[in-house]
Amino acid sequence: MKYKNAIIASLAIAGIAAGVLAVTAQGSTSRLDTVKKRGKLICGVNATLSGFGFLDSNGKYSGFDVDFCRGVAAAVFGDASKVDFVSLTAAARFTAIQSGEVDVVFRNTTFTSSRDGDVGVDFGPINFYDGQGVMVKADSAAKRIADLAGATICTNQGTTTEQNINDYFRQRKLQIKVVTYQDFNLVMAAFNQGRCDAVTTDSSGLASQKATSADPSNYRILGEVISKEPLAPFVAQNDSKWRDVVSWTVYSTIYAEELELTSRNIDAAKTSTDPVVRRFLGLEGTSGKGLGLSADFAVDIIKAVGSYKEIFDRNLGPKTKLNLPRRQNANYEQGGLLYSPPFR
Amino acid sequence: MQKTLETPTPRASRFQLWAQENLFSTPLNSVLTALSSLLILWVVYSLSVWAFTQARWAVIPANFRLLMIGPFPIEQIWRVWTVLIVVSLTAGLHWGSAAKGQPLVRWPFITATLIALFALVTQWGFPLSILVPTAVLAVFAGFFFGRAALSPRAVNFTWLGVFAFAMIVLSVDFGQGGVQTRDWGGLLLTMILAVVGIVASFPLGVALAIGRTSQYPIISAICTVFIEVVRGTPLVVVFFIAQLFVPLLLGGSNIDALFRAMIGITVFSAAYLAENVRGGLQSLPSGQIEAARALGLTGTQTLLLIVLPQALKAVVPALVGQGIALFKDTSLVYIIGLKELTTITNSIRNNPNFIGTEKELFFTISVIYFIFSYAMSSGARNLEKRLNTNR
Repeated sequence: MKYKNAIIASLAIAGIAAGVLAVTAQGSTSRLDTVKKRGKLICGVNATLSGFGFLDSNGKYSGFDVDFCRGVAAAVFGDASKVDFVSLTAAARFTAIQSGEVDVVFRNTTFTSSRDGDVGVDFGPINFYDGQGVMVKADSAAKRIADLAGATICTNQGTTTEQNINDYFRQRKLQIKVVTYQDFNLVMAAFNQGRCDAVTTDSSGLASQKATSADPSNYRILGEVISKEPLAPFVAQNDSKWRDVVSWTVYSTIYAEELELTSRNIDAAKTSTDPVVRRFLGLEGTSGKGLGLSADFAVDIIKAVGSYKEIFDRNLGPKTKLNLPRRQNANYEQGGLLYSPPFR
Repeated sequence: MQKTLETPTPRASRFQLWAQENLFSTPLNSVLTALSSLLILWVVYSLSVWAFTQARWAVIPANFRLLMIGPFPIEQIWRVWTVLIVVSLTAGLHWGSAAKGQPLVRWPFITATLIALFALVTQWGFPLSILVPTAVLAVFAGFFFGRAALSPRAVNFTWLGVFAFAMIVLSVDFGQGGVQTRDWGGLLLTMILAVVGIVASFPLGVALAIGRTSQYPIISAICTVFIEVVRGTPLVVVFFIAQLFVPLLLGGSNIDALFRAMIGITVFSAAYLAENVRGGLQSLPSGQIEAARALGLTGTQTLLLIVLPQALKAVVPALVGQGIALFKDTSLVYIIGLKELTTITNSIRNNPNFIGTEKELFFTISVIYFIFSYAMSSGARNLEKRLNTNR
């Protein structure tokens, strides 16, 4: 036992030392310089998440998060194709940033205090607001989540969704039975066979399950959301110059939607006399230069990947099979949570 | 005393006799046969109903290239075809040199293949209609040349050259941009990982086995610790270490993910292989070594000429089983972010256009895995027959 503890302790010290070394090694210069020198952005993504990151039939990375990676490449190089993608598992994503294997990660990662504090990464702006929801059969009597007291609710293993739903009912002193399955496809199979009264996972997941089922009218998603799952990109800690680039890339897409700019009309907008538009396009002011980017970096981003609305519609919106509603991911002017600081 | 036995005139056909002897010899056997037949029929029937009425097979042709080579850039695909044709040629040489001296020209088989191929090719567009027949013809050309002119040993060395050639052709920049190993994927990557794992772990495993039985305690101790530590660790954990610790310990300097996977899989496989080989070494009667020494062979000569050939021959089945396991274990490299066959399948089923096609996809890749595993085990059976000098 004594030796075992000693071994564990020395391994832990070695690990911490290595981590410290890795962090200090990249402390002196900004990642932005590294990326520029390399001539390519290396972006960590999920390769197996519907709508957010996957390989299309031509072998190209595709999806909502992938488009934001392309946006960062466009901001830095003026060329959205100058990006290499690295697919990361949930377990590997933080180490990949700490070790410098990737420059930035856009991979459906929930922005939490412990990740910001303990893990040693810095988050950029939230680019997708998700939250845990509950879906029932269309003919269910339940109108609210609390109506499901005494019911069987199914979810998949290995996530916090099980804990969240249990907490929700325990807090209200209601009984509930939670059954977990390995994979959400199995959860849906059990649901369809009547072994569960309801299923729970992130709202985006529920919406896509509903939309891609044989008959979406069989299901109803309850209005409430029981947890916050704000998804945000992240970079290595203590590199605010690089984080600024990532942040303002995300803001550019949101701001473009506010200004009703799209990949199609952005060239025409250069003749605009509106000073707000002119500053965003880099025709006035020096915001791009201060960020270490070209003056018209926002033009490059919007031309390459479009506004937030275009990115959302292309990957998740009504024209896709996922057919997610905008809800909190609408701009603040439409009652959503998306809000970009001004470009000036 | 001598009494000529009457040869029974077979009234039933050979199949009936075989069935009587093997399937219905006793009442219990008959019951088992009936039950198993029902079970098999039921499985085949349910599968057929699904395959022909419910399954949406369109997902497979639409993503076939992805399954085969993953995100390999389309404009660089000539690299894959070059390698495929060279490998086909070498496989033909291998097959031909092994079939030397046997009357093994199966013309009906060859004709049938060519006709089927022709029928398929007419369905395809330009590049495939030239390249696929070229690959098949390369197999046949190799077969006849190898049969006429090559020894199996020469072909084995050719394989090494082919592997180096494949690695270079698949990646190196010849002026119009190279291909990064992280863009290798699908079945191509599965094959590369399996081949590297099997080939590289062999010498390492044999060395470890010999080291473990060494008379020098320090060598023996090092080998034993290495083998036991690795064998006491699941492959998943080995890959997590390769993914999480190696980059941290090296302070940000990037090691190619594929290289990390190759190291992980080789080290893991070598430890198991070492134990298999040790079993072979210990099964050898000590008289063999004593006789070799008595004949004046040195220790090294004894090892290389007497001990190893016999020990390895004894453990061929175990080694092949390990090779097959390793081939399937390559599916765990998703941990390192590599996109081999299984990971690609997971990616395709998450393409919004193909959601709900898991069954079709996983059925297809299980067939692919089966074809290669079965080919390996039947190849090994031939090898065992050839090596069996005891008969």
